[in-house]
Amino acid sequence: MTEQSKLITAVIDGKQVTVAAGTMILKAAESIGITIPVFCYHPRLTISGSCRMCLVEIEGGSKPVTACSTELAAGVVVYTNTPTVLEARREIMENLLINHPLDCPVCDKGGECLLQDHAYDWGPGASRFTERKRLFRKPIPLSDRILLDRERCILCTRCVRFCDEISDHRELAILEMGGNSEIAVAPDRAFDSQFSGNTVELCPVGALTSTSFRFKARPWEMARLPGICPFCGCGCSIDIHTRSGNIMRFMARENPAVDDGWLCDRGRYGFDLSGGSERLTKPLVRKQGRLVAVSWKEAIATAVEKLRRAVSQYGPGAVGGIGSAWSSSEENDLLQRLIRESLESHNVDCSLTDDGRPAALALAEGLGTFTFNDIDRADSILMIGADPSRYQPILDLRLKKAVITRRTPIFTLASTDGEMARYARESLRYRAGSEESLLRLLTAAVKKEKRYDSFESDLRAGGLSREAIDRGLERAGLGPRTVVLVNASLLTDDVRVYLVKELVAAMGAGASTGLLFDSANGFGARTAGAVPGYLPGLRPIDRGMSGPEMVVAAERSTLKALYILNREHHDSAAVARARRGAELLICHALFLDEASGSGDIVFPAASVFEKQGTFTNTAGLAQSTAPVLNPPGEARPESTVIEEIMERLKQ
Amino acid sequence: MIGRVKKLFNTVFLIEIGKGLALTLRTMLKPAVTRQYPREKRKPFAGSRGLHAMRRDDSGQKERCIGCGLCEAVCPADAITVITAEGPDHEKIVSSYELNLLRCVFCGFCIDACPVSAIQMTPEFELACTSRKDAFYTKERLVKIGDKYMGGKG
Repeated sequence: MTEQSKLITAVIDGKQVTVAAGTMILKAAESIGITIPVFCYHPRLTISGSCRMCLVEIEGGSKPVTACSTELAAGVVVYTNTPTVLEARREIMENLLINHPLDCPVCDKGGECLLQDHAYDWGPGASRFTERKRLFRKPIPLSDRILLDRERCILCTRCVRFCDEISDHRELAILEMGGNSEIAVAPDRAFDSQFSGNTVELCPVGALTSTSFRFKARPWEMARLPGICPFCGCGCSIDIHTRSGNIMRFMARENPAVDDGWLCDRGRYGFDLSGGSERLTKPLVRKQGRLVAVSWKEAIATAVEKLRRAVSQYGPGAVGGIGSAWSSSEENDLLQRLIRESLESHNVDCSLTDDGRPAALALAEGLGTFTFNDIDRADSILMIGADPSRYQPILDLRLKKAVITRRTPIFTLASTDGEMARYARESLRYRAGSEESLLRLLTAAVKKEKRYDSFESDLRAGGLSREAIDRGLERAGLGPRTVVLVNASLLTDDVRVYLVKELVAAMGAGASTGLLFDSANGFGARTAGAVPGYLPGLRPIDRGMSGPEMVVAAERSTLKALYILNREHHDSAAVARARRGAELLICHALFLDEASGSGDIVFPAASVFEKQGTFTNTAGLAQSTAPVLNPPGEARPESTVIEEIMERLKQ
Repeated sequence: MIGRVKKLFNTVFLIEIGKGLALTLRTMLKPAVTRQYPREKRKPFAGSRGLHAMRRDDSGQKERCIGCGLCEAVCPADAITVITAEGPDHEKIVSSYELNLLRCVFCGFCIDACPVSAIQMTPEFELACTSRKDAFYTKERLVKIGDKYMGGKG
């Protein structure tokens, strides 16, 4: 360690530079503002040194060396722009361009291509190569999403290294040798990684292209606006590229606190879901059994009148509101204010199908304190019921990084098969439904208690035993600097929350806990107060009905009016059940499907890209987004509608 | 003194009017320069910048444009919109090429920018139209103009 932290001083291009011993020349040069051209080098991948573009000269050295893979030694004098270096770059460029086709005008990379830029800056200007270029059938699909133009490839191996080191799916390889080398999917493998889109972004040339963006736009035509990916609980930073009111693509925007500069394919290619010509553009009100398009004025007046009548006729307890774990915190806050302040009801929740309260209790009890960076520092990781590979993909990359680079031991306990089990020191399966016994047993094991007979029989049926858990705990070395990741949807009642709390307390003071939400704002909807029994900031208040309770009450006609902020794709059955007994169903919707079409008043909503809002990711990081598009037709952000209804209810 | 005498002389003998009438008489005897447009049309000069045309590709089946969007990028008046898509064989196709003549300033930058010389200018200068819609030249209309001026050849 002392060797690592030792500082050395050298001279690059006449400027003195002081860096830690072991720093490569390239990084040292970067630190004093000297840029050395590269192709294969990427700061988040291992060094390959294969493109030779970064050659520099060292005083007294016999020949130029690669700056990316040569450590800066104390006292050396490095030159990055001598005639020898420039000549070397010219020759590398000439060699790379021998087989590179001149199809920049139709290449999607044209305009943001490293090869183009370097050819312009360092290239020889003309080629002496008069023979035929290497030709391939183009392009070949590597997967449904990714296409490869082999003749454009300069064999930098960034994509191969990404698959080997970061996603660890190892699907890509270089086949053949020498001049015949080409990137290909490894034999007997399919390129179906959920991170495949990153290879397209890593590609310094236009060899890898994605089907969703291929030939759709040129880089200079697009506006680039920063945003937050709204498709899972991670909240990765993205750059949204739009052209004339359409989203063309998402690119990663490095945020070390969340995504490390990577994106999963669900996020990267998910924007297709938000568009389409099917969008609802006018407010609809049910008249004589049919939904009729009306003006905003009329729709809001109808909503106000009907809500007022429901409250005066049946009392505030007969009105309920459903926020959403996919809507922003602001919208959830407004919804709970509409229900609690304007309608004086306590029936607020953030889902029709699950009780949002236990997870809110967990947050109020001080669980959910972890940050993504905790994983980089953790001594060990305990995962209960969590499957980040499926539900929080970027967290999966974080965990793999910890396992691959730091050999962090992971102990997984899950009811289904997950990819992380492959990386775990120990992984155990439990039977779904036996979570409570599992938590009790786990706590007893951590506390080294003997008293566990009463629930062991329950676990035996699921194939778990105290011995297995003891072994897992021992092998994973759980202790004070453990990160405990709990699937938030396991927390279905208060008992489980207190069991998790007890378990974490038993681990020691430094352990941090993460509640893994699979929705974009599961954390924020709860801290915004869209749950039974909690106001914004998790201040306790009288507890009303939970979402599932409201559905049952509506079906039995004890709940008369239901206001739904944002539907989830899996709650159509719950909406249909509530519809059977409810007199009034108000919802905001992007599309008119069976469930939203059963509403009495349907407001056309703005998609997440069309409004401002704050989303709190599963690690408790609140991030704001700004609108990048305009809502179609008369569609309006939900917040403005709720505000107007609240204003009118006051009068 | 001399000046005043000269002015008086000119005024009395209507010298200025005589000079003017002499010019009129001289011009009457010269051939006319006014062209009777639209009956008579001027022959365009070489390199004159008139209406755009799209050439056909070597096969003669479709337009030469490859959809690189450089004309759109260089256009100072924002008159060109190119929309591209992926064809059935993973090739780039131009799904829409639109030239808005209401915006065009006939600078000819698009012609300079085109890497395959697909877009050209013709001597056609009679561009009056009766609706705004007619001022939008689509790919098909531009190819037709190309056929007229370049005989349908590449």
